[in-house]
Amino acid sequence: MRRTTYVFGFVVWLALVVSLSVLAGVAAAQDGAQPTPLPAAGQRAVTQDDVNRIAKQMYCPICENEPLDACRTAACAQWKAQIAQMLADGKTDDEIKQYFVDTFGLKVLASPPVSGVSIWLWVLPIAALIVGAVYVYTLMRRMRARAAASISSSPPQSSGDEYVDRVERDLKNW
Amino acid sequence: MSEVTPEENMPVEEETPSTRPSIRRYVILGVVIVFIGILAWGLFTSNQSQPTSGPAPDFTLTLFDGYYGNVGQPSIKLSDLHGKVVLINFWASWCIPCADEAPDLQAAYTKYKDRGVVFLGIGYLDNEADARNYLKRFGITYANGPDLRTKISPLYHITGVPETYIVDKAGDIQFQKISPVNEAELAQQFEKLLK
Repeated sequence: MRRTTYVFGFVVWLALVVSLSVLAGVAAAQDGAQPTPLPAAGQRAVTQDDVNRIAKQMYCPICENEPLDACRTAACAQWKAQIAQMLADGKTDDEIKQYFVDTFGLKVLASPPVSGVSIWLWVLPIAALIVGAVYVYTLMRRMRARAAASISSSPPQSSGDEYVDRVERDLKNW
Repeated sequence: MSEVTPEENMPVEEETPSTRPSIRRYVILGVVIVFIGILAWGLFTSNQSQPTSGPAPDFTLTLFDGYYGNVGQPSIKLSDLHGKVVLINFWASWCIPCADEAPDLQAAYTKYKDRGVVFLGIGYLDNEADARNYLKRFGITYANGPDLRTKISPLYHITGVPETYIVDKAGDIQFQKISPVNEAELAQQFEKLLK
């Protein structure tokens, strides 16, 4: 019963860690850059790489699980054009990302900020890993100690075969 | 020769059945419940489809300057429009089918704006400059505003644009369409709901 509980607990922990890892992996997935038309030149020369540097850190909600720099929809093209325009206007990367967050919500970011409520998205998977590792370590240690104790404390039981008993005895003392 | 490892010498901690295991069991049960709850919630929300009847999800729409339409104020809460027929249209300037229905929507608005029908256009994942250009291009005069922080569209579980809803005077959804609408079908709905 106790072992079943441990195994059950371990399976739950493993499922939790795997789920959180998959979620984090989806959020962190980045792909290669795709070209996008730039708007007319503004106050500052803007390259495709400049746009993609920011676009790689963003997701357009229309293209699920596809980073903005790789998305080819009209909406994403519009967003990239806007990033180019804002860069040309002298906005910083953070200002541009903040604009998109303010306008469209946090889900446009590939990685949620390590602040506010979203800090839990970073803390929980790490905490789950640590707690799980400690749990597994103590569980294994306890099982080994219990196994050792049962071997040393249990009286030798006869198998009914003299030779088998002797082999068991010798193996134990070896 | 026999060697006894330190671990074998370790005293085995005897657990009090009535305390530690039960606490651990509760903790594990709690984790399982939370985990299943998160999964269930995720499945529930991802499988939800657009509402086609019943009370229309309430929202507050902040309107673009100059696009107050027959709302006549800078922001509007849907529930404040009880007693009127309300058309809600999700659109975007980058959406090609939206351009097909834009003239029909404006024509229907012109025809019904003084008969107690309120039109609310909601720009989906659009930037203001492009949205304004679109509204100007099609001569749209009804109330329009952005879906700020993408809070309204999830309430209606929209899968794309355009999507149109018509809400009756009691606040219930009576019409829903995912593709472009035309003036004739809008007129048919309005006539039915204005009786």
